[in-house]
Order: sequence, then structure tokens, then C-alpha cells
Amino acid sequence: MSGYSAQAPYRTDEPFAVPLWEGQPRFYRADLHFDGVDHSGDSYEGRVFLDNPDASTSTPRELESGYAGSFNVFGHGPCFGDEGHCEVPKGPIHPFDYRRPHPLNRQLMVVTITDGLLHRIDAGAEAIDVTVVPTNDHDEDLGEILIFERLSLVTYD
Amino acid sequence: MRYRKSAEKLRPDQLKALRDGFTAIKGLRDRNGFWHWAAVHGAPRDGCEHSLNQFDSLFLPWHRAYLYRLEIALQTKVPQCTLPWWDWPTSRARAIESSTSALPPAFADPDANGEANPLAGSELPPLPNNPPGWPKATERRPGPAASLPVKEDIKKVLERPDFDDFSLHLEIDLHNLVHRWVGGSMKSQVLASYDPIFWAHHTMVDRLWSLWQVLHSNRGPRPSQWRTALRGLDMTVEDVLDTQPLGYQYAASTAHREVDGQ
Repeated sequence: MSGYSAQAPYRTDEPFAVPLWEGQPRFYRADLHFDGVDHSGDSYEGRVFLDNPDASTSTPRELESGYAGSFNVFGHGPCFGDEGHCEVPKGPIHPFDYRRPHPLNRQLMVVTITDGLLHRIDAGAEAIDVTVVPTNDHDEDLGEILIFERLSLVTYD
Repeated sequence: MRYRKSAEKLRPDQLKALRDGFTAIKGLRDRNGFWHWAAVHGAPRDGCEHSLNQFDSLFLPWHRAYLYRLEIALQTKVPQCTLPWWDWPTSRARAIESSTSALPPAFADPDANGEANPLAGSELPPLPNNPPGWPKATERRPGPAASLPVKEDIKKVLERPDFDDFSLHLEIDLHNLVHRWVGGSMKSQVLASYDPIFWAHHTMVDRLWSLWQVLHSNRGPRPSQWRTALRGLDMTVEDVLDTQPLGYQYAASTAHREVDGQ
């Protein structure tokens, strides 16, 4: 499965509309939900930028650069099991299978972006694009490591 | 009642007890040994619980029970031994000020009293299936000290009033970050628990849950989770909701006076 890398970060195809009421924010907290995040490989940080499609690993983590927060993935690392060890079953193998979910089921990552989003609204934004740059502390090439299924903007008022 | 202390502030006798404890259980090859317990989290048993979603996480209860089981193994050999917590912001500040490692010196120093420091790393047991790439020993590759969490990062997580929200952000904002920061074996779920710093790292995570419980007058997991068995640990969620029945608390420091005739 292909994913996103530091060289080719994830970018939203269409912007998220920002919940506004007469030009003012209609929320006290805003989160980005990354559903179905793969964590079977290396550990990494996903840096989230708003309205900065050119963001890269060298982009400052400042509001002015659109930086809104990060999520951190604790990767499973190499598989040392036997054949099939890291294959995730679709569900219980029968109605009497009470085992906990397979550890490599996909994860949810949540980034609270309230400050970053309010900063964009102050600059006049009515919609936002999201860019996610995967990286680590050594700025290494982690390949196409960022794999996930869905991104949601969730606000609370 | 025993008190878990900061790894940055251990007295010499406390550090000696910790090192003696790890040395002792590293020498055991049965179910009281270090390898046995390390294998429960990672390879080959894969028992650990990390959040898959926001509503069914056993991340904090599972790791509290896991720390308890290793601490009991340590205390069987060295009764006064307790697990210390790695105070990430304090280590970060000390490292930046003194240009030293941001790992606690108790765990970073390669030698201790002329011998190999048992907290600096660990050999790994061979696996029955002899998989290619299986390392012989743990390794570390820390990032820059400035990348470790600061007190404000911790405060933001502790302020979250909902337990599921708190637990998820403690895990992905702080816990995952520090695993990644230490690098080497610690950034791999299947290898991390073989590195002794893993235990100080998770004791800090457990301490933050304990602080959250006090701050919010809430133990956390919902009652429907209480009877859930914790994989590989012979305990349930209910067994670990409070630390006092497990025989420990967290303290910045302690002082005692023996009273004659009592």
C-alpha cells in the first residue's frame, strides 16, 4: 500500500469549510481526526500544517507557517513472528472468539488544532487546506510511511 | 506503602537498590526474570495494549499492571527497590543547561561502580523461530534534548477532563513522542520493553494518570471496562484503578523519622 512521505506529503484535495457564524468562529475546540492510521512500520511524527501546501520537514513549527500540531506514531517495528503473525484478521474467527483486537488494527490519531485554526480565521480564511509531513528527530527518509484512511475536521461548540 | 521517585533525584541507596534489582532479575530465566516480563509487551508475546480508537483503550490500565508485575519481581530480589519515573521536562532542562544526555544519568551512564550499568541496556534472548534481523542487544539513538516535552505540554494533557480524551493524548502526544525520541529499540513496539529506560518512561506515564485522577476526582475507565482481563498479566482493569491497593504512591521526595519505642 502506498503512503505519503516527507518528499511527497499528504495534502487535502478539497479544503475543509470552517464553521463560522457572521464571520466569527463557532467552536471552542477544533480537532483533526486521522482514522485508520497504519502503525506497522517505523515510529514517526506527523506534522500538521494549515494552508501551507509547500510545508516540509524544514518548515518552522510556528503559527505563522501554518503549523497546528503533531501526532506521534509508536510503530510496531519489524515483524519477528512466523508466517501470518502480522496479518490482521477481519474480525472474530467465530462467535466464541473473545480475544482482544489484533494489535496491528489501524489506530485513531487526534490533533487539537484550535490555536492554528483560529490563527487562520484571524487571517481571513473561510476554508483550510491540510498538509501532513511525516518525519523523525533525525530528519531521515522514512519512505511512504504515512498511511491512513480518513481525515475529519471535528469542532465543538 | 512504597514511594516511586524521580529518576533524576534518586539517592545513592535508592539507585543501588534499583541496579541490584535489575541485575538480579536479568540473571533469571524463569517467570520472575526480566526477559520473561519484557517478552510480555513485545516479541514474542505481543501482549501490550495501545489505543486503537478513542473509546476502548486499555493503554493506561494494562501498563499500570505491567509495571506492578515487574516491580514485584524486582522486590522479590531487592525488597526496597521501586521503579523510578523519568521526569522528561526536568531531564530536558538539565541536558540543555549542562550539555549532557537528556536520558537520566542513572540510565545513561555506561558504567556503575566499575561495572556495566544494568540500566543502560539489555541483551535480548534468542527467539525459538530464529527470525532474521533479531538483535542481540538493545540500542538507543536519542534525538535533540529540546524535542522532549516541556511542562506546558504535560499541563495541556492533564487539563483534559474526559478520561478517554486524556488517555489518547497522553499516549500519542507524550508517550509515543518519547518512545520515538529515544530511538533504537525504544521506537519499536516489539523491542522497547527490553530497554530498562522503558520502565522509567512508563512509570512517568503511570504517574501522570495518577495525577489526573487526583486533579479530576475520577479514576478513569468506565465501569463496563472494569472486569476486562489485562492480557498476559492475570489482573483486571478494576485491580489497577487505584495505586494504593497496589502498594505504591508517587512522591517528589520523602523523609522519615523512626520513633523510639513504637
